[in-house]
Amino acid sequence: MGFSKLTETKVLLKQYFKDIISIEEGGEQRLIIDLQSKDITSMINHLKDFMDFKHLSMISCVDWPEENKFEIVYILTSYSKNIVLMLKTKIDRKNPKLQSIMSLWPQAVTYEIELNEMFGVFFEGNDRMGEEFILEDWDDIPPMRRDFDSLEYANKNFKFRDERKDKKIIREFISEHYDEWRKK
Amino acid sequence: MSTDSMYRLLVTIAVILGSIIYGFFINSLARRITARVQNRMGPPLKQPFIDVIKLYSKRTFVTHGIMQTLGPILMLTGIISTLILIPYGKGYLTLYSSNGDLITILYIMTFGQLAMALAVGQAGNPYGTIGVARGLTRMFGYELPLILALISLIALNHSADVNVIIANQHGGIANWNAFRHPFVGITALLAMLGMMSYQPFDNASAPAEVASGPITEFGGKFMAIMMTTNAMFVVAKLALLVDLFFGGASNIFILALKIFLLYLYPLFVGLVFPRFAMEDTFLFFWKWPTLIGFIGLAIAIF
Amino acid sequence: MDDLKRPTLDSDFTCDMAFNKITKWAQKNSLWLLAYGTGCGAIELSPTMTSRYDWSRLGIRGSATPRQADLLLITGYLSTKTLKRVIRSYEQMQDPKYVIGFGSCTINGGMYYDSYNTIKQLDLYIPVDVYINGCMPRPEAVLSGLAYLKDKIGDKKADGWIKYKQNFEWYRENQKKILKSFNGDNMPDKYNW
Repeated sequence: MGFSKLTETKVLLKQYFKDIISIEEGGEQRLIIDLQSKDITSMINHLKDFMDFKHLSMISCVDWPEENKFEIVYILTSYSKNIVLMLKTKIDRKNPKLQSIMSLWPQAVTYEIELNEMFGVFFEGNDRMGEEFILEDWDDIPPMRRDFDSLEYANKNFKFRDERKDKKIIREFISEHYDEWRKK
Repeated sequence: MSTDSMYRLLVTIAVILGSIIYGFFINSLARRITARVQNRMGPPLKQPFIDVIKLYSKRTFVTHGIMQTLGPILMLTGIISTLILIPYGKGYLTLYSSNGDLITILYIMTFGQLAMALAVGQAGNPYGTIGVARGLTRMFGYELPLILALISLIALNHSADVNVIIANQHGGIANWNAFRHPFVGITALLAMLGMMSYQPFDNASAPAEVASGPITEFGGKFMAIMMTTNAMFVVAKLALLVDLFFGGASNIFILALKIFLLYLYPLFVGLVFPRFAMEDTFLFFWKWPTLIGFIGLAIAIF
Repeated sequence: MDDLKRPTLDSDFTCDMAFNKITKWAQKNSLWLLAYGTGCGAIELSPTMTSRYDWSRLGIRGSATPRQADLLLITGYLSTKTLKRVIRSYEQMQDPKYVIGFGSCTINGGMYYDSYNTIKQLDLYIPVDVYINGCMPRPEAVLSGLAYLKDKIGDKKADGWIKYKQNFEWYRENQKKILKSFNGDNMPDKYNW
């Protein structure tokens, strides 16, 4: 009885990359790897070229204002090994910069410009960086950061409708009369 | 002006108005039938008339240049010219059909579509341009079998005059060209599917694929003129086919009945088949109908 | 809202008085709506148009381009990016034209009340003739809203497009507050793309 593919991958990765902060199993056929931001490009390169992780599922970002860090998350999948791999790295919140993986997967461009717009992370080597994606004419801090107050922004920029002139609360009115309407 | 030409003119105006009304009528019947097939109620019978009145009562008039304004009007001119060259019966109902033969009719029929293409070109909408390219490609497709069928007819009758062709079909269903010369009839009926721009060959105005094709940039009054033109064009095309292949008609009611029955055929074909891609459309017309058309032509000549 | 001019029938808008009855009847019974699903409410339109509810028996039909449409349905939430396109589509439609606000998001933001990217009141930016509330409104509610709009057209009360023309500056100011790029010089003078 040999090693399972998951254990095998885990052992191999530990051998190749000595600087990995932690590597653990996050459930069935899932690996969570935490590593330093300087290693991320070489790691993804290695995973794609030699270990058959051909599929980029998504790139995401988590804001940690308490630690003053952004955590960038890459999710890769291997169809031959049937493993989902989660690569996490933390970068400085003041000057968030990372190498683009556009040369490996062209579709990564879309994720990267979205992260740039929503969090302000800059990806070096992506020639479409700074392009407007969803937010047109945005002039505030990137809205997905946790120090951005969405409700305050909405109150400042949008006008809410005034309440009813007769002060009637429709929801209560309906619930009072619901039974008698239903009988009709 | 002599009383004879006076009567002829009055009948012509009556035929033009009648073809508009009858075109709308069979259009709304077709919408009802489509709805019943899809298990719906469908719009009321007067719906196309309401639509046209509404479109004529639109207030804004957006145009991108003189050609876009002229295009629908030229189209109307082309269709009216086609309409008055087709015989609808005997006596005054032959209209001006003795002034032009089958080849003239074919020539004038395409005039409206070419005017339309110019108008769409000026409107500058990319969907419109795609629609026109598709429409003209489809026209190239179906005109080959159609013209093969018509040449066979001309060869068989030794005349390109529609009145002569009608006269030669006299005497019962068995003498109708569609049944007496089945290969020619089948070719014409297949080519007709392309002429009627119903599914599966509605790729020019393909709804939801290229917005609404050539008419994308035309709204309001333009659209109203186009709907009117379309109604007349449907009647003209069907009346021509009835004259050539289904024995013509001695009075206007029989003609109306034959037109309606013939109209049902592309409608039901369209309800069964989904839309063809452009290259499939072209291949279809240049494959089977053309082959059958050549066989028909060979039989007609030798 | 109160500082808006009430629409008056100017001489511009009385040109069809003679045919008023016929045109009103036609406009009321033939509504072509722009098939432009802006939000989640568009999912309710499929049952409304197919065999169960079948809006074509009321003379309603989808149309693919704004040039041919009479009715713009704002189906649900409207992000600021979409609002730009909606205004443009609305300007491209030909008079007389009507707007239906669909779902609670168009009335007061709905469940997106704290979103930084969706507008809260639709009638600040384009004139709305009829609101259908609910999240989402059932096809019955949609049909009743459409029937209400038809009645309004018949009574000549669906005058949102006249209101838009007469209060154009007010609407334009509101639009510019949200859509910063509408302040640029490359905008057409009276919009009307």
